This record gives sequence, C-alpha cells and structure tokens, in this order.
Amino acid sequence: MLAESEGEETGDDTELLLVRVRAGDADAFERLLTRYYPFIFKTAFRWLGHRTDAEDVTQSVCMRLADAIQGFDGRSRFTSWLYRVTLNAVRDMQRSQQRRKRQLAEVAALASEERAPDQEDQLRVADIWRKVRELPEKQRDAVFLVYGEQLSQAEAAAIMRCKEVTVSWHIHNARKTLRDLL
Amino acid sequence: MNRPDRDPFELLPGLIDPEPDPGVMRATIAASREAFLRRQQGGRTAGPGWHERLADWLRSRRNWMAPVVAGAFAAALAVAILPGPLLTPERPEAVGDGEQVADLPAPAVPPDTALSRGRDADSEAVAEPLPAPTGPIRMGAQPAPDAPPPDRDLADLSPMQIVHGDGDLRLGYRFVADRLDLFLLDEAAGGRQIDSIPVPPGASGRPGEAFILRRDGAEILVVQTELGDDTAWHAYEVTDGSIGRNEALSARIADASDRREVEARLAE
Repeated sequence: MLAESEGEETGDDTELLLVRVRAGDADAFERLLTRYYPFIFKTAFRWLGHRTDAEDVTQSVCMRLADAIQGFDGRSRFTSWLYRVTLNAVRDMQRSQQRRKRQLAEVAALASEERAPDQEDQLRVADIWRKVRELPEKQRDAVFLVYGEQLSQAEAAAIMRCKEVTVSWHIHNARKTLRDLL
Repeated sequence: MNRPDRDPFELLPGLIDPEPDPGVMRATIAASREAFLRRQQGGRTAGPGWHERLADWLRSRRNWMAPVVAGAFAAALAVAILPGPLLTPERPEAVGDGEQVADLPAPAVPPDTALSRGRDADSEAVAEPLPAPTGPIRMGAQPAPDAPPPDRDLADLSPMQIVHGDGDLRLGYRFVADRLDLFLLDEAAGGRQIDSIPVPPGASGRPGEAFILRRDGAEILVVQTELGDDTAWHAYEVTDGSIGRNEALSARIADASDRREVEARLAE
C-alpha cells in the first residue's frame, strides 16, 4: 500500500525528519531511509517481480535520495514523491537492461517460492500480475496504482501527472486488452 | 480455480511482498548516508564557482570556441554548449559499457565494499565527482532554451546512463516516455541535450559508438544509436550557438556498417 505504514509512524514524524534532513542532519536522513527502505523495496518488487532487481532499484533510489531529497518541496505527500522516484528507477531498469523477459520467466517460480498457503490463488494472482506487467506502460501504471497499490484514482492521477479521467481511461483500455487473456 | 464473476484486477493486492534482506538494507542505508554526508560537506567546501570553472574551461578551449565566440552568442554558448569532450578524441577505444548514475549533479557513491553484494557492470552506480552548484539545486541536465518542455512524468528524476566515446567524450542518455534523450556531458557544466529520438513501444536503446571527426574545418560528433535490433548513425555539429543533429550528414551515414564506413562517407 502506498501509505506511511511501514514504520507505524505518522506523517508528522516524517515531516520533522524532512526538516532535519534539509538542514543537513545525516542521522535524520538515515532514519528516514530506514523507515522507507521497505516501502521502496516492496514497490520495486511489485513492479519488477524479481527480488534481485528490486534490490538493485532500491539501492539506486537510496543513493539518489542523498542528493534528490533536497529537491522534495513538500507540495505532494512524501510517499507520492518517493513512489515516483522509485517508479522512474524501475522504468529505467526495465528499459536499459532488458531484463523483462528474464523477469517474466522467473515470476512463476517466484510465485511458488514466496507465496503462502493457497497455492492456487497465489498462482492466479501471479499470473494476473505477469499479464499486467505486459500491458502498455500507461495502462500498466494505472492498474498497478489503483489495484495493486489500492490508491484512489485521484492519487494515481497525481503520481502519473494526469487527470483522473485519464486514469479511468487507461484502466478501461487495460481491461479490454486483458479481457481475453484473463 | 475459475472465478469469472470476479474482477481479476481485484486480486492484484493479493501479492505477498517479500521482506527486504536486512544485510543489503543496512549496507545500502549506510552507503547512502555516506553519500549524503559527502554532499553536505561538498556543499560547504565548494571550490571555484560554476561560472569561474566554466570560464577556465572556455579559456582552455579557445580553438573550438573561436568561430563561435566571434558572434554575439558567445556568452550564451558558453553557458549552453560546453562540448569539452569534443576536443580530445584521443582514446581509440569504442564506447564502453553504460553506467548508471544519478542525475547531475550526481552524489558521490560508496565504495563497492559498502554494499553487501556486487552489481552488474552495466548497472553500476558510479561516482561522478561533479562539483556542487552554487545556486539552487536542479536535478537533471539543463534543457536547451528552445527545447520542448520535458515530460514531467519522467524527466525530473529518471536516472541518466553514461557511455564513453573516444577520449574523454561522454554521452548521457535516458528514457523519457517514448523517447531516448541524448546529452553531451562535461564535468564542468553538467549535460547539454543534443537529441531526442523516438523509441518504438517496448523497444530499448542506447548510444553505441561515439567519436569526433573533423570535416571541412569543423568538428562533427558522430553517435551510433541502438534502438531495439536496429542501429543508426547520427551526426551532430555546432550551429548558431547550439549543438544539434545535422540531418543531411545523418542521412548520409545512417546505415553505415561501421565507423570506417562513416568516416569514408563523410569524407566524400
């Protein structure tokens, strides 16, 4: 979920940390990373379906945050901003390293490795994720954010920097694309 | 299990996320903290300002700048182009593997030992000891004044990859939506966008070989771009204070089989 729930701490705590980070407090920066590292990793994993790639993306995002954090202006929620940063890193990996085919082949194995009790359900979920990952980019983004991350369409639109109706349109098209496959 | 009456998208949250590896997590956070500290220290102990370094660089590039400085655009050109690497095409090697870096100015990167496991060479985050800017921080390469507005979806924060051409020639590239943006990089002044190439859906791409050659007294930057299974050569030159693609020369060399053929065609 795209929420500040990883550390059971409030948005106010994050705000205070961000104030300290902007002042150059390395301890605050470390605490902020510790809190949001699982969020970055899990987000990357959902998009990539591969642990090693998710770790690579997480490392890349964390290193970039050392500099990019100063550019966070607070106009959006920190998690929304961080989600965008992570998503950009995910896309870059997908495009530049051409790992998608390998990922797709490994998702099935990973599904049985890391899924719990109801194997059939989990395989079904993994199968849907695999097909969603093959959608055109905008459709995939919209489906992931609204259904995978369970965001409102307004929140998804903010992350995708488009209008809500556009998110609806991408989901509609995704549904059409996948109708026969699912 | 077949549940045709249930929206399959509703099943997506059912994915069980794995937990991150604690060792990798600790190493990554420690490395990022070091980079953060270095950035803070770098900001406080910055050397000569950006403009001073730029002026130094320009003084060392008089030959390249001479035809341009004579014009009224000299000052703007100094800020905008910075084709330093164009002047030293000494190294004979072809382009090496790409390196992933943060947007310019890049944070310092931890030593490899700080990370708990190795990384692929083509995804290595590298230290780019670019100086900290003296003004407000801006992520990413500076667009040309007449460049189209960037795609806000991705342009702000998508990491830039770097490839090396001849000598100290460095090109940056990154994907933004459905295009591949190319940048000419210079340590003193960051990046200068030189091209934006449409990329077919689902395809990937990157610059391949890159080098400088002289033609009729002018220096031409030649870049081979790989898009999916196709490759194409493009020629770039300085015109009216900016560097951009020369369509006529690019058309002439587009399908050349190798560098030797490019040179032969441009010599005609």
